[in-house]
Amino acid sequence: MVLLTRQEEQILLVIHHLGNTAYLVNIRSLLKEITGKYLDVGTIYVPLKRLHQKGCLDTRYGEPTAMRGGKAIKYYSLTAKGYEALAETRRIQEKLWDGVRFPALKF
Amino acid sequence: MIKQYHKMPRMANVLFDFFLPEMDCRYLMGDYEEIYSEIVSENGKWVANFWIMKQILKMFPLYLIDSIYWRCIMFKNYLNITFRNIFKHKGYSFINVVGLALGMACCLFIMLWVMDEMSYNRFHENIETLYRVEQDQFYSGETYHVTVTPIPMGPGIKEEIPEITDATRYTSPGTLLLRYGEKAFFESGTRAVDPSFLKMMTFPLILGDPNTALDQPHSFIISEDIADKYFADEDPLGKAITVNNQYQFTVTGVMKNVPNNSNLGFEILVPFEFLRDLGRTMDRWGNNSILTLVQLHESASIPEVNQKITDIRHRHVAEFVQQNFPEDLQQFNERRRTEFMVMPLKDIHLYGYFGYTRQMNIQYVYIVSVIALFVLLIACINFMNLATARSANRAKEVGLRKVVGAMKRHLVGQFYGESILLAFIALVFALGLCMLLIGSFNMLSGKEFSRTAFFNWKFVLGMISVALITGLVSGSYPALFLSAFQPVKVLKGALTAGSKSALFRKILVVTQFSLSILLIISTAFVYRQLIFMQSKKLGYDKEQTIYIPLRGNTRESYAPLKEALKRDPRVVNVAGTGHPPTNIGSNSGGADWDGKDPEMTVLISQNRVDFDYIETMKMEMAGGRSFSKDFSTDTSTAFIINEELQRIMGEESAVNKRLEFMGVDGTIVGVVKNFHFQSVRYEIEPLAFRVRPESVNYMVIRLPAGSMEESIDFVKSTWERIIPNYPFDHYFVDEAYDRMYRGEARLSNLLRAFAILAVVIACLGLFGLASFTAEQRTKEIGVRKVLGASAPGIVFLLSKEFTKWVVVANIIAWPVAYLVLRKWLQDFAYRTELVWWVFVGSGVLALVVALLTVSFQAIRSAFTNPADALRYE
Repeated sequence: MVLLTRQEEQILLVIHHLGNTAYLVNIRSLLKEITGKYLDVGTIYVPLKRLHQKGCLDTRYGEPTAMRGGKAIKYYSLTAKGYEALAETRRIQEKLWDGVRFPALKF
Repeated sequence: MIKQYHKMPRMANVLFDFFLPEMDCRYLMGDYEEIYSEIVSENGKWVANFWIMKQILKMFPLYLIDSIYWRCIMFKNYLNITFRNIFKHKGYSFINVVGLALGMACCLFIMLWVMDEMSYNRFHENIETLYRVEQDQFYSGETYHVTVTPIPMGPGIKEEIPEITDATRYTSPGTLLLRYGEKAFFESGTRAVDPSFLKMMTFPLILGDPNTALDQPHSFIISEDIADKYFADEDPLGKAITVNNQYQFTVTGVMKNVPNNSNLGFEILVPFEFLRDLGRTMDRWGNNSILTLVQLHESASIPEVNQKITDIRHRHVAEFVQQNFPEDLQQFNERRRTEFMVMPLKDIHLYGYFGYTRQMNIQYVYIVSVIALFVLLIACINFMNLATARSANRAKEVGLRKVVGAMKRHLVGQFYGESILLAFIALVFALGLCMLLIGSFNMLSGKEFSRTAFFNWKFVLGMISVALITGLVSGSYPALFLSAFQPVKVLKGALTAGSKSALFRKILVVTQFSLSILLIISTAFVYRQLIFMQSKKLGYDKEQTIYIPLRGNTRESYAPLKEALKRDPRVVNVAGTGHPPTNIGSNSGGADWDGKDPEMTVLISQNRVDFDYIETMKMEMAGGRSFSKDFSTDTSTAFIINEELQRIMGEESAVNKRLEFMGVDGTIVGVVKNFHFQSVRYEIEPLAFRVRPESVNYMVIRLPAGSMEESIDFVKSTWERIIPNYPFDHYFVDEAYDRMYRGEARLSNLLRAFAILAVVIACLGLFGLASFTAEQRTKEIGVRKVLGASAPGIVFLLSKEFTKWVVVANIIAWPVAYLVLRKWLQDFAYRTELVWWVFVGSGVLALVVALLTVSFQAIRSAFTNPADALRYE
């Protein structure tokens, strides 16, 4: 069973949201939209690579475009194992959150 | 959103190329460019550039960790493979390591020696500003270099030349007899110096005040060793020592022992003025007898100082000539001036020279270093040869590594790594070897190294660089050769030991043997030259002769001693001389005779002797007569000259001719046949004898053959009877003679050691190659044997190849050796001939050794059962 880190979880979810056009640049901008922070390229690339190695992600290559200085795009998509991992993570999260009551906070 | 493409700065592209993981480099770069373009269009170029730089910087730590991680993994693998290879082929590894270790041990020793030679005098704190005053004298156009100077020069030039901040004189007052209570010893390590000596030089005092220690006329500074010798546990300061049974000296200081790497070596310092007590003339600018050391101002111009010293000395001598020989003044002024110069003290050990030749120690440093490098090179060649010869064994590995993605540079790195590792293993052995052999090396080199000398940081650095260089040199060819294999060919098995590499191996082996033969030939000739010099007919008989230095006031007892000895049959003959028979080191210009070319200036050696000297030394007369008491004028005006001076005078027979020399206007009464009064290295120079029985410094005694011991005992007892307060001290003339050739003897021994090593290492390599070839041809030999080849036939087959190489090596080595040795022998006035048979003999020796090595392997394979050979796969 693959356990995901917070970052991996976020990235996998973003890829899911982006459907089959997810690649590094739009993953980064969607994460910015949601969390409000730009991440470094490396901070996204390393988990992507790791997830790919773990078998949670599939990759395919797109056409080179002028916008990228003539370089091809590497697209990522979730595999069944990826979904499994997400589901498991969610299960654990919910279990952990179950019954959590914050103490009354005084402001 | 209008997207527009913006190009990243070139610099960023290059850096990305370098840092990004190879697999995803292209896509990631695309991603970066896309984001970059976006930022440019939103925030402008500057922000974007800043962003990209930040990204690159953040990449760096990860990149580093990543690459180190992989390097470690690969390194572990390389190390594994290396050790497996070492242990799998124990024989080859042994040859490599032993060869390299021997070569390196050689280099380490020589490095130790060279570093020691370089360190001479460097321990002085003021070394950069210290100089020795030297001079060039000119005799009929030839330059004669002298390192001694007139006695008054030191104080004189210090006073007149502002650039000279300090000056000191330095000379030996001769061997002194020291007596403290019961203890009495001759001390030859005494030097007389000015008080400024201790300020200029760095010879720290342990006891006493360096500023005042030499101020009192009879004060004394002694070394720790001397202090131990005389005073043991007492406090030496203030103790009184009697010198020559006559003078009372007080110890005012104890200094640390002078280090071995000092050209100024002494154990006792006395004030210079003490020489006055010993009866030396102190104010002659015309005689050169002592060292003058000066300290110059940092900004002083050396040529100017040289000129000033030259002028001052000339002025003083001119004054002297004018006062005493006014008629000679014009001639003196017309003659070419003696030129003075200052030589940096840090250079005098390596670059100092004397006399007509320019023989410097640095030449020996070069010769020996080059030879040590040769030996190491021979060992490196072994490594290269064996590595390339066995390349077929490694070829599969190379092919496979390339297939799974190794780049050429990885393989080059791997093979370099292997050779460097092996070099370091060899270094450990070499160091062990050096530790074991340090005693022998000290004997060979005449130095006193201790084992700790290997562990100062400079030397450790040196060792590491030797190992690194050895590794790189010996690994260079295998690394480039092996890494160039094409994987397809290799894995298909198309690779056989290529003819190209075989040719290269031949060249290497020929190089090895050329060097070895060169060393053998050199050893032979250096040895022959040594024997030649030691057995040269000298013109006198050096056997059965002893000489006794007449020290202190013992000269006064010379006459009665001579009488007492002469009367006895246990002594053949007795005479006195001013200089030891093997070395007449005193000479002077300014001789005159009838019919002399006024332009000509000759440097003539001089010796004051007693009657019977010619007879005692068994010299032969070429004409005229020997000194004789029958002629009353002999002690005042008679000269005996040698044939060389007669030749220079241009006379058929110089007997009864006038000669003005040594301050005497006299007559030549006899001509002695040329004899060697210096090292045979130098030509026989003109010489003149005078009879001055009262001013001899040595007594020479010829003893009868057969009963030397008894005779010496008799001389000793006679001495002790007549001169009870001076110990008896004697030397053999033939031993003194041999001692002159210590330098050559040392070189000869050193060369022999090197030559043996070179041959051993080369043969190790040859042995390795031979066994490799035999292994490769196992099948061929098997087939040949089955078809009826005889064992000798097989041995011949395997040996002839190697024989060819050694013969070629001979042909290369001979002319080189001839040229090198001719150059070396040029420094000798009398030299052994470069006879052809030594060349051939050395070649044959190398050939025989090589053949023995190879045939050992060849015979083994010739006698193997062909069935085994043919079954081996």
